[in-house]
Amino acid sequence: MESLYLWIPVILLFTLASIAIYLWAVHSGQYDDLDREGERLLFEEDNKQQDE
Amino acid sequence: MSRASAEQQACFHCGLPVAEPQRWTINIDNKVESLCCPGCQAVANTIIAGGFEQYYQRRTALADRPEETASAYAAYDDPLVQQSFVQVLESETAETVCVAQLLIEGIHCAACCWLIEEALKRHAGVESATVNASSHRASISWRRDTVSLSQLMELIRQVGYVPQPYHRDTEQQMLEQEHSSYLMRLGVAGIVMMQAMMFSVALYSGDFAGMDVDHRNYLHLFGLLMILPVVLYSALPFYKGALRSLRAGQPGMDVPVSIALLSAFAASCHTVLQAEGEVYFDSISMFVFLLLLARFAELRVRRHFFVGQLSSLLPPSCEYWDEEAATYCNVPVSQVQPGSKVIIKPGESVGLDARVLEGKSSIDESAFNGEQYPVDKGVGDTVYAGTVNGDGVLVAEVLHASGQSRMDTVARLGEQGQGNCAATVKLADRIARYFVSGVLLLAAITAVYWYTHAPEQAFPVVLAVLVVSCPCALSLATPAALAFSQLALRTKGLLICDSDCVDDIKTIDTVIFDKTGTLTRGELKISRVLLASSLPDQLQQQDLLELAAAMEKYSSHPVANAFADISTDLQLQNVSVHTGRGISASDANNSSYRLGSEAFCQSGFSASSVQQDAVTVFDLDRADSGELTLTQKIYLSDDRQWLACFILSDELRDQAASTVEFFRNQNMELAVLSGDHSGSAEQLARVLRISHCLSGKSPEQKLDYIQALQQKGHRVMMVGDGINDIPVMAQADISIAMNSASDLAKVKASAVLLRDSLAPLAVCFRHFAKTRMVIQQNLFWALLYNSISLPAAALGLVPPWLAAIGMSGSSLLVTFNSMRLRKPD
Repeated sequence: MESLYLWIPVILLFTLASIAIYLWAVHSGQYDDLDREGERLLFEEDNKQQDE
Repeated sequence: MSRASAEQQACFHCGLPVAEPQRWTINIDNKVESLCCPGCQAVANTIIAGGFEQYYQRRTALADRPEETASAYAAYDDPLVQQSFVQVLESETAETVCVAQLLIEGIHCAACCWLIEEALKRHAGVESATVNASSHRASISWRRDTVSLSQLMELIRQVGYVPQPYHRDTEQQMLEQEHSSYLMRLGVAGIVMMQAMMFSVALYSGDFAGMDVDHRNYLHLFGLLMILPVVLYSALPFYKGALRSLRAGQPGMDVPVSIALLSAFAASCHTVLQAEGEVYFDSISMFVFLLLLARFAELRVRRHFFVGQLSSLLPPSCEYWDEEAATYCNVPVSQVQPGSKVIIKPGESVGLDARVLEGKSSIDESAFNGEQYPVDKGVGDTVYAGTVNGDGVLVAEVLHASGQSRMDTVARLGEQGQGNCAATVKLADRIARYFVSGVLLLAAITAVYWYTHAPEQAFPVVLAVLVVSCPCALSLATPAALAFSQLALRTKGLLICDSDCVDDIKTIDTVIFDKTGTLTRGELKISRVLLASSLPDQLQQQDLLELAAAMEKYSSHPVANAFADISTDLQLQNVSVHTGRGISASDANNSSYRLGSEAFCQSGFSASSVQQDAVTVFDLDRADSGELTLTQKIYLSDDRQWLACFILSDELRDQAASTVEFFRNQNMELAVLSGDHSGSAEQLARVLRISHCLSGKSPEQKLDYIQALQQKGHRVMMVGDGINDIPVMAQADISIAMNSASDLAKVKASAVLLRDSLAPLAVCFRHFAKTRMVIQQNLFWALLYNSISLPAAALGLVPPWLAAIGMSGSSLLVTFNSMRLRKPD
């Protein structure tokens, strides 16, 4: 059980890291449009016709 | 999405009823679908020809019925006009790349965004295009030398949306900042909540299976560190709200929330420092997370409708008389000073309030007061910003600088009216005030009692009182029910913008409808054609309709829209538009025709022939006396005699009659308000059996009428649209805006009808009653829980782990009870 003393601080670091990544993602505008992204993969983006 | 019904087919594109099923059709996936109008057909054709059929499979909301009139976007190519919303990027290549920010009306779902993006991306010269479904904003970067912005805006219009430049406004910017800050707080609370739960699992199982004291204290210490971001960052809005409401002397729901949070945190800190007692890390994080989630949902609903802007009605530039250069030049409206001379061309929107110096014209003030008939303006009259010039050229002197026009004043008036209504205190807050005082009193009594009897027990017991009173259930009771209720009504076509109306609606005893655009569709249609008794050689009804349609093409009067559906290739000569009276023209055979009012047509032939045919005219007059809705007569004559009379009518909206009937059955007083003088409002009131009817009223008179009603003790609900109704709607106790209402009206309204139908009004009345019942059940349970647990805690009988279970349990119960509201009826 001694390993607890090591792993719990490590978990804290992981949590802080995920909070930091999340805050960065919101800041960089990735969550600006909550209605759109969930459905994006349903639409085909067809790149072939794009080069005209 | 094709929804063929037995009685009436719905338009494949916009979902409105199809009057003539075989008239406008489209082939999709080898199936023939009916459409309601040529506008929808054009848009559907563009979408299918572009290979965007997926839009119809994936969309979750029907499209708006497209505007048939093409808007002129050429003004937006002017670099001066572009300054405010286009950014020119430096580029290494020869071609200049620009980025424009546009606001797009008509976006309902992700499929709309996809459609616009793909249509733009395939156009030559477009580098990239992104459309945001929440803010309805498009960011387009394009090569200026390959394609012009007006072409791209026209492309967006062709697929059925209305683009306009996006100008940052501060209120909207604040809303967006609030949105992302709530999102961050919510995310932090969520991440911490998951971790705190992990610790709790260990601690709870440790309580039962036995746990080393060192390990437990170690978990407590790290739990405390973990919870800090939630207490210090995520929960900030609650502390701020609590302080604000305390300062105002009206403690709201935020006060018990803050007290509970901070006391639970203090109790946990105490536990960690003393190495004995209970910790509440999971409760704190879950509580904060759930409350933030409810507020975030509310914010998103508000944001959904705060995407419009008033300036959309104003043109970007105007023709300005430059004294020095002695010539007219095109300048942005914002740069024109009062006293300058501007020229207003036919069909253009007026950019600034101005007094007419030369010329006369009919002005369409519908954007301003919601009424469809133009007003004649001559020298000395004032034309207002946001109105549309008819067929004359006007030279006018600018009265106010941009931003101080009457349009802006009306907008501000609306805001003030809204401010007056803010006195309505939410039900939960009213209860909270007593609750907070009660809990604080109880805590104080408990503290005094335990301090005098067993001082060493005082702190833990007082904390237990504050923690067990944790108003989770109480503070979730109303927001949870409202959130599910809003969700349900949204699927039925009603968006609740101001949740107070759920409570207010039960006191409503008077319902006032606006006429044009609310009870009626606000679009004129040819309902009957009456032919003269003797027509000259070979002329048939169809010929006369085509002739009239060809003539009306030259007019911008709303009457002309009634003829827009008739296709004709007749070539006319010598066309002249007589403002406010009619149109004269001659055809290829050089016979001349007049179309317009009775007097105007009569002036076309010699006195003797009038005598002969006068009888026919009176016949025509009598023939339409049985018409139900608003009617208007347009005459057609040649230079010798009468040819025909077209009877135009404005249709009643779907379910107008049944909705009025519903409110009558609820014993409501009903009234119709209208700004137009034509007598059609009285006609309409008679048809719908509405007892009170006020027509030809100015906005001020409408406002007085509502105020007079309210002074007599009536509670008024107003259903309407149009900018001019905004002060009236703000004055009403509850206001409901039509989907076609201006964006400003929607922002100020208590609720917005999402489809072109009045049916959701009755649904919402019933659903609100159910919502109020669920809220009462929730509050009853929360109060019951608290009235049992609080005394028990004060007596020192409640161990903290039991308090935690009771707290979570009662929150869950309230949430599940509210979920019953997900489906209306």
